[in-house]
Amino acid sequence: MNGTDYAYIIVGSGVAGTTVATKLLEADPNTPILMLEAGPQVPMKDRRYWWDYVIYGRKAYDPCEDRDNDNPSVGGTPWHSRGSRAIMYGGSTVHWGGWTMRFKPEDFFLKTNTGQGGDWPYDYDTLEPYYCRADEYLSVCGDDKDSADRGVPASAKNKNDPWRSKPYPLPPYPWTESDGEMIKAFRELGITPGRMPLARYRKCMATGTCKYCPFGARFSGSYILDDLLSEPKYTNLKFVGTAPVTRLIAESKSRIHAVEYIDPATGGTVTASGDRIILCTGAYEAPKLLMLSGRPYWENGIGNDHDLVGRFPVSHPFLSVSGTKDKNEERWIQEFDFPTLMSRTYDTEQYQQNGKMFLMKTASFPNVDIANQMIAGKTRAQIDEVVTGPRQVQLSAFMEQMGQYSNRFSIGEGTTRFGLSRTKIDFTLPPDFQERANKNLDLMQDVIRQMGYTVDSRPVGSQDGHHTSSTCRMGKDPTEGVVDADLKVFGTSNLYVCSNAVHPTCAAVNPTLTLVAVTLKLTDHLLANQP
Amino acid sequence: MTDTMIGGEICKQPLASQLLAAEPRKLTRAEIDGLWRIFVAIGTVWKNTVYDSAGLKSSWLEFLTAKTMSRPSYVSEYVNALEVVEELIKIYGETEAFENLFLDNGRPLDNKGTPLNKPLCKNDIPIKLDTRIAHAKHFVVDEFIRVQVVAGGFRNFIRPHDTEIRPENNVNYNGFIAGSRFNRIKPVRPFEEPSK
Repeated sequence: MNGTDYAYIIVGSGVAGTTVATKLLEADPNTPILMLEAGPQVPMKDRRYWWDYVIYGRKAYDPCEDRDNDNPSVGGTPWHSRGSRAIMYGGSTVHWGGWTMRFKPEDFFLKTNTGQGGDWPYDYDTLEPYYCRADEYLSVCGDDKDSADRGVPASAKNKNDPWRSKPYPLPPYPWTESDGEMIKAFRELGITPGRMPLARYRKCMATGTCKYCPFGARFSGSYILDDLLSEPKYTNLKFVGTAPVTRLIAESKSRIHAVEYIDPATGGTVTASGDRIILCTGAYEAPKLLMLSGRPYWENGIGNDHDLVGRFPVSHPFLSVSGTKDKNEERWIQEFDFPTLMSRTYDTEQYQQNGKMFLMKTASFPNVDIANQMIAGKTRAQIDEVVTGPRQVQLSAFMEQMGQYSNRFSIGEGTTRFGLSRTKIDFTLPPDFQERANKNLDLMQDVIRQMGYTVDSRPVGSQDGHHTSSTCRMGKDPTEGVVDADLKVFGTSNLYVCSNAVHPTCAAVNPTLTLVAVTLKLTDHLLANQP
Repeated sequence: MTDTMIGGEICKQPLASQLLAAEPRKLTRAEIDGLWRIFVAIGTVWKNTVYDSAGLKSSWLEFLTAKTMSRPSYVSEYVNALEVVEELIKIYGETEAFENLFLDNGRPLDNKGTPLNKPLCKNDIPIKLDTRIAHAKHFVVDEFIRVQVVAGGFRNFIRPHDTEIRPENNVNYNGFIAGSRFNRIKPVRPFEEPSK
């Protein structure tokens, strides 16, 4: 270390922060690391909390999730942040679903292919070995038969997934009997049914209560952090929770010397210096920290000389089509309470211009909450009638969104209950969005009709922030992006951003597996280029 | 309090709506036996256990421990429910007492004496919990019902003709601990591809 307190300061304790720390400490257990987290710690794998979740649907970490008024939406399209993130020890993987699809080769060239959004500074093949490591790290269950051959687009041979050089670490979950009628309709319409890849860190007992797993089976950054902090070898790892970082301090234009954070014990400000600073703070916080920091060397905030910080935010519009049939003679219910059936047939280069979509059979249909019926005082005969009565089904989709320069996350007025500055969200959907979404809904509606159901509704869900990405995107140079291919902020020598914020595209699938792959690539870079 | 509500003086006694205060403690054997009688009655009224409720007991006991040994403790609610049930049985006899408590008549009433039209259920904030019987229904019976269903009571609604629980008859439900150390045992009714 060069007269600093720590070799690394990692801001944020989510999947990215804990993965960086893990790999650095595996390489050298004595590495001095300070990890700062704005949110509190919540008991996990606690049976009382689990029962409360089963009975009332209350999650132990509900108070840590975003509320709408935390982040004012000021653009032409309301952006709902409620429930989007978990600001806490372990970060948002505490509340994720664990769906772990890879991006596809065309996702790395969105701008080249469509003229919109951004391109990655490298291709799928560059990231592929890191995807394999990410699969192993997260213990992904998936179906090898669903992967394309190298050099062959997945769509060419009716495969769902891009090529992979190693098999999935674990076998896939089976399709359930109630998936059958949608699988049949898919095939009749030329849609390839696939098995949902899922991250299952420890042995899954199929409770379906993944949002608060009683056994810790679904991967969560909090378990990684537990392991790190209980490892006696890692004596130089220091973790401080409920300690929001308020700004970064530059000692020159290129060198970011320290971070300033609130001491949870005293409420005072603490400054800690580090050789390298890594912002693993997600797509909401990273741009604001850059904007708040760096004066007098950076007039508009660190890395923001080209006014790109906070721009191009994207997430996933959620499309769904619901249908009903008169009878449920088979008494089907959704037995896993997480989706097992998916398709990427419309998630290909051919559909990129319109907005690709990733299809999944909605987990909560068909379903009957038997206990609710009993609690309502219904007799056995009445409940049997409900169980065998009208059956609902729903097909859902994430639709790809292209980043627009005019959309932006910036610093709002005041702070949240975690001591973080509020995020002002200025976001407007492009004028042709509804028309493009309708085209996708038409394709989805065909499936529901093919199944013999009457279509009840086909809404486009409200714009929310669950998969927010691209607010500090990677680029080949500072006129294109905020960070380079190694995630270093352009114009600095020691400041990195590692979160969904750096993804130039959000594809049509959940971004976490890709984030872990990108994080593992970063750790290789850090270890190979020690100061 | 209204005259149309089931039960006697104990049931109709007013209470504040909040969970009754209590320190965590172990329940006595007599208390556990009394609460088990309520739990067993759920399977009797809805006829959703294969033999009896014994197969669900370990899950229920684990739930009971979690609710009484950590905060907020349910000990006072359980004591209240035992006294409510005792009075109902004295008035109606055991069979009718539980039917009254579990089915429509057991629901708390609104100010006009009409049963609340919304069930007290998951994610639902009860409008009025102002009597001892309303507390017993909401904090004890309703929660026991959900435990009973997720611990295995759901099976009989989904596969009513199964008289034995076998691996090939597996069916799953949200909250049921369905896993096994052996991957070859599917926790669900799997989709079988039709032979080509």
